[in-house]
Amino acid sequence: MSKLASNEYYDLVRTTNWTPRYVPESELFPEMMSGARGIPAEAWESFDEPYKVTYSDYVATQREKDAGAYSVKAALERANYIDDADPGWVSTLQAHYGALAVAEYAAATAEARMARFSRAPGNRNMATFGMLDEMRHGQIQLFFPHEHTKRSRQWDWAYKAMHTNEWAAVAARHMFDDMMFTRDSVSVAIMLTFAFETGFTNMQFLGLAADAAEAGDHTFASLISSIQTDESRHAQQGGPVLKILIENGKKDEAQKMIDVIFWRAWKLFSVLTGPILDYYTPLEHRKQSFKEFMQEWIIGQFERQLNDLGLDLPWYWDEFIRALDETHHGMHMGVWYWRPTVWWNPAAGASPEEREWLESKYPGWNATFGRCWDVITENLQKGREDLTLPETLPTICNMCNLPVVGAPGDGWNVKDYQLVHEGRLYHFGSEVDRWCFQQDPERYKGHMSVVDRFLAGEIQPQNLAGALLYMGLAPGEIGSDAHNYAWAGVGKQQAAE
Amino acid sequence: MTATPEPLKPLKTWSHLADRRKRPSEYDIVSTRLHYRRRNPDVPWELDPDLPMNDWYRKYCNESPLKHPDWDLFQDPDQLVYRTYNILQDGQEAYVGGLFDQFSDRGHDEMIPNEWIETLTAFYTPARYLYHGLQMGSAYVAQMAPASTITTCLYLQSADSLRWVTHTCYRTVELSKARPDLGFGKNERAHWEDDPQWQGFRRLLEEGLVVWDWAESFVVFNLVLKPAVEEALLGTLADVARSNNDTLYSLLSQAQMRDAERHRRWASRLVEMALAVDGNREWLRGRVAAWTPKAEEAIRAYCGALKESDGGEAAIENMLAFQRGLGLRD
Amino acid sequence: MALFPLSSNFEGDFVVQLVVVDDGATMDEVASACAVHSIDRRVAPRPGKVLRIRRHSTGELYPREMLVKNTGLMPTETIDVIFSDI
Repeated sequence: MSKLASNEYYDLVRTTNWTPRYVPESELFPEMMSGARGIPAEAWESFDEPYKVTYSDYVATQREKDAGAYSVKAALERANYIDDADPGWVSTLQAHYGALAVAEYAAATAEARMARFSRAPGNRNMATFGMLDEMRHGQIQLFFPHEHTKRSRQWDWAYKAMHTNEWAAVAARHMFDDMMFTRDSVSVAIMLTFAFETGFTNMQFLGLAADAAEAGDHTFASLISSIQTDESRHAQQGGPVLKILIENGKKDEAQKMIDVIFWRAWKLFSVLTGPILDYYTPLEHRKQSFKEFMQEWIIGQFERQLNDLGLDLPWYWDEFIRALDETHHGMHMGVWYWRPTVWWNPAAGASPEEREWLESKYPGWNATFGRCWDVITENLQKGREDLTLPETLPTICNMCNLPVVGAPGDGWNVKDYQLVHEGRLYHFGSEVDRWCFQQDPERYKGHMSVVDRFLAGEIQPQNLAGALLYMGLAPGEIGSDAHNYAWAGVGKQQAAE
Repeated sequence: MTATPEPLKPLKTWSHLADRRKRPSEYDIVSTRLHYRRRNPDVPWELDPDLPMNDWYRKYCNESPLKHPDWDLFQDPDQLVYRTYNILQDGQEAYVGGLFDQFSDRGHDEMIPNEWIETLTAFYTPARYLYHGLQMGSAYVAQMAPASTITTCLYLQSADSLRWVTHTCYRTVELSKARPDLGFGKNERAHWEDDPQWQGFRRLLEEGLVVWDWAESFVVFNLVLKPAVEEALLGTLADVARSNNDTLYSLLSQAQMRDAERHRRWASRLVEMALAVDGNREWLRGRVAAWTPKAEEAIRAYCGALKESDGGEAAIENMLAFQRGLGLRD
Repeated sequence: MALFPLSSNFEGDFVVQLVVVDDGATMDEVASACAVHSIDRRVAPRPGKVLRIRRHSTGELYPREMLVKNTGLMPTETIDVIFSDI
């Protein structure tokens, strides 16, 4: 396609709105799926994607990208990096793939929602490429971990996790389904592509890629940075949609959508990315703390983008900044303590040197979370592993579907934000989680958290073994301490005796 | 936990593929059984069970009249994955790009008859709206289909349709340079919305775009509308183009027909799979019989107005032959 | 007597937990049931202290011998379990 420059025919490719005659416009673009909010098609046609791509450019560029990423993988496969990698890094990969691979393939459905129902032709075309991008991310993040299935059943969860009722998978589905599969195309453009993709995924894919390179896992580093180069193409769709909503008097509605999903994304990152960056990644490979990554990748960029569009910071911004010092530490402790209920081996990350690093990055850590780790470490040194394993369930938030956590020890501040709605008592992990529920209770009120199901007798037998069965977890898959308590000086001590 | 059972042993592949004898291909590993909304047909999405979108997916996917105990057994006969699709289409685009360049170098648009170029304003360049409609329709069936292997074929079909839109627009701009006086790049919407030759296809497209059941939408797009559009625009129009020395359009149509044939291969495999289940044959034949008359009408309206064409006889026969080959028509 | 689920927000711990008690249990019995899942697990014992039960939402302190069914608590409602001198 060299004779004509792409900008000569590009606009024609997105001049594809027509006035329907044989079917009413309201039926062709039902509000539930399209979400035009009364804004006419002509206004939507002002949608202009900053990052333009044609079909021939797309297939050429993407062919080369895959060729690159797959050849790195093939070249390094024989090196068996995984067999010598730190167990904490192996858990990082297993948690990442399990939570994201199948979910990214599913994200193509969100793009397809826009490709069919958006009123903006440019959005429909970018979403068509977005469908392919997400299909790529799903497929490549299934192909890369598949070689490890022979190493442990936990690798099977790269495929299996999102199909189970394991509590982290339920939390991920609840968030992803709320954000991108059960909404109209305008909401998807704002929640998925703007708030989540431009807001957060940079961090998971670029921040983690930096640690991966440090850890010498070049296969994973090249994979996730290659994935991220696709993000700018389909993540850009939110900006133009937001501009049109704001120009047409829908700023408040757009702001609320962003505020809901930014918090929901933050809670998911606090249980997945937080522990990975501050506890699983081997100390010597940690480029920055989770909080520093968040400040660099999310807070700085996101504030600028909101200002550029004339939007405000979410109303809870101060609480969000405060929570950066706390929430993920609680989520990590929850995942570690309830480790039999996850599909990877959580790394405690609480050796003396690691605690020193944590105290330096989060002053006051030892006086709060450190107090709990003191008791745990002591139990392990006394040979009381049983006291470091759960015998009941945590209270689960009915929004983020994660444990209700807070600061322990001297700074004890754990709060449960309760709500009675239509006669049912709900529990929320934060004031903002409760606020999200109250914005649209009809979307959430009938959902049952894993604890609700346990109490309703849906999980039999009604004990931890029954819960593991319900979650699809069997011995060989259930998590255990990544370093077999070496960090607590247990291994060395026993060897000495 | 008392006597813990034997730990599960590692497998050589995903557990859902482990009991199959043959070694899993890259296609098996990355494409099969991915729709997690299918794990609980009563509540597809992990939110309130009565959420409108839960109703939508229960009604138009899980409770579709077209039944099968395990749609995930469907396999794309071409076994395309994202990686190989780009290799395939990058090669095809290099070929088509080469055609455009060579014919442009030879001054093709200055050599074809003026009358033929006027025919192209009325019968070709407005097709970008029709192809874009196929892009939208394929994206709908994709997001509703009950298995990821079916959905993946439809994502690629939607992208192929955007490819056809792009070729059409490329040619529209080239023709506008050769004949700036014919409204290329400006009048296509008016032709598409008002000219009689397009109204049959437009009506079938609009009515097809509001069919919400995934299987009926698949029937309309892949077994009725697409065959009709392909036989008319890539068949009949291409024949008349050849007799008007428009070799470029003829070759371009053949290149686009490669995509269409790939779509028909996977659609045929899906129909074949469906016919193995009692009740599906009657339902599929009923849907084909209900929708095809509008496609015949559309072909006649289009080809009937196309001078030097056979009025659409061959196009109609080819469409019906395709349906007959699937066992969906006598 | 009937089983009654409560959510234990134990002083010094990092997470609220499900603790199922009998609706005829006293506040002292509830406190010790909650302690099983926090003390010596993540919370160091504090000899000489007594564990008291508070309604999380209001801060209302329940008498030690009050029975669960007389507290007005809803099933799964959250209680604070705090160290106290009396």
